[in-house]
Amino acid sequence: MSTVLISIVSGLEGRVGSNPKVLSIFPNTLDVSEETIISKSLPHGATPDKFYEDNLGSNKILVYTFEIPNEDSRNDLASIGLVLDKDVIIENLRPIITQLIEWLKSENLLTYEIIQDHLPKIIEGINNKSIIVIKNQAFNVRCDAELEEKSRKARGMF
Amino acid sequence: MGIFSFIKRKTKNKSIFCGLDSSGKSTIITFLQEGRFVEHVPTMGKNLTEMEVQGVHLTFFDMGGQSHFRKMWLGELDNTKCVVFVIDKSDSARFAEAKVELAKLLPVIQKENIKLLIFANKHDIAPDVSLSSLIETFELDKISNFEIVEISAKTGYGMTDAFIRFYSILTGQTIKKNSVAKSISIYNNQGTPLTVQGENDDSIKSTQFEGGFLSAITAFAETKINSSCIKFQSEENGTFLILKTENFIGALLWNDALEIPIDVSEEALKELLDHLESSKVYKEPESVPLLVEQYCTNIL
Repeated sequence: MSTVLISIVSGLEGRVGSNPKVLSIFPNTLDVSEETIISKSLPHGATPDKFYEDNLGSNKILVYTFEIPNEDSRNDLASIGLVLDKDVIIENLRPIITQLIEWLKSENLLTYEIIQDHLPKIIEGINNKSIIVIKNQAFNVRCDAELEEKSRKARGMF
Repeated sequence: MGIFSFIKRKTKNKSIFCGLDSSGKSTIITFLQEGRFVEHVPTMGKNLTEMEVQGVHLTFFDMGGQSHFRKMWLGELDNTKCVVFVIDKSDSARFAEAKVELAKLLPVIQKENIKLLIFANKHDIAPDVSLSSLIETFELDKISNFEIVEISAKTGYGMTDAFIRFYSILTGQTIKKNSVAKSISIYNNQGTPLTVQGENDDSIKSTQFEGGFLSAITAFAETKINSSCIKFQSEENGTFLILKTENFIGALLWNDALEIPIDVSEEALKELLDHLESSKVYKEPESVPLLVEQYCTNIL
């Protein structure tokens, strides 16, 4: 079973005349309106470096917001949203996301283009707890904790 | 107390901040809270901020200015006592757009007798755009019951006066603006004078830049003390408070005639230095005098 089912990149640019928009969905299998995706992936009142959780159909969505710097205008408010199975333990997933974004920032790789282009690798890396390689730089997804709850089937003898 | 009275109490003294994207609404609210400039990312939808001033609870709704969010403004007017409409006075290319958005609010503002306060922000960039020209451009003379003030949430220009007006409109109470110093001078971290603001008294200004005082500042600059205030007494002028931050030294001349506790003046000096640090003007010292002059409109 995959931890991350779908990932979404959204943004509200700092430039004059911008509006919130969904930039990328992978895999593009969400059967909901763009308005719904925006409201789930960039919730009202969202500010940088925060997590937001919500339900999306029969799944959960975990959103992490961050800033993308701009030279000639305000910074953008961006987000990465992960659509998850209900059994995913969100507390254990959060550190992976913050470490990944911090790493992208430290390597000057925190741009919409790079994140969008590498969404499949990011999902694969998280799901397999493996190395994510972006522009010849490697991020090792380290997580000793379980990302999913064990089966809730009753144990023991009846 | 039932749940409805609780909700009512929470939204007491409600104000909403509207205006086009990038006009500076969130920056203004943060300046009112923290007394310094903080750059923001765009507001996603709306943000709620609450403050307590002199025991009075104030509620601010900071409404996103992007066209996507403007339809929410009208819906937030319920129970609102004051609409603060923020104009970027340096962006004349968008005056027409701002005027259209303001016009959409006016019928409800007038019908519900909501107070309208207009903040003409970014005065530091466009000091020559007069209030009378804005009143003409926005046809504000056709509106009854509005006020307009010039501010800069970047330099702090006019922020205290603006807040006093805002507070009075919202609560019906007044706040007295206090002068916390006879003069304030700012030096770089090497002790080199950058600017002096205060009473129009040349003798005070020369006192702050000359002789033993400058020697003391220079000696202080060489110490490793940061963020602790030193005081020394001048029989002729009063008490000097001197504070040092990473990139600046501030000296404030205080005396009894100000009728302000000395710790209030010390806090004001600290806030000014924090404002200079967060504005990052140490990279361009030539911009320090204007920033200090505009900020000092709040405290002198």
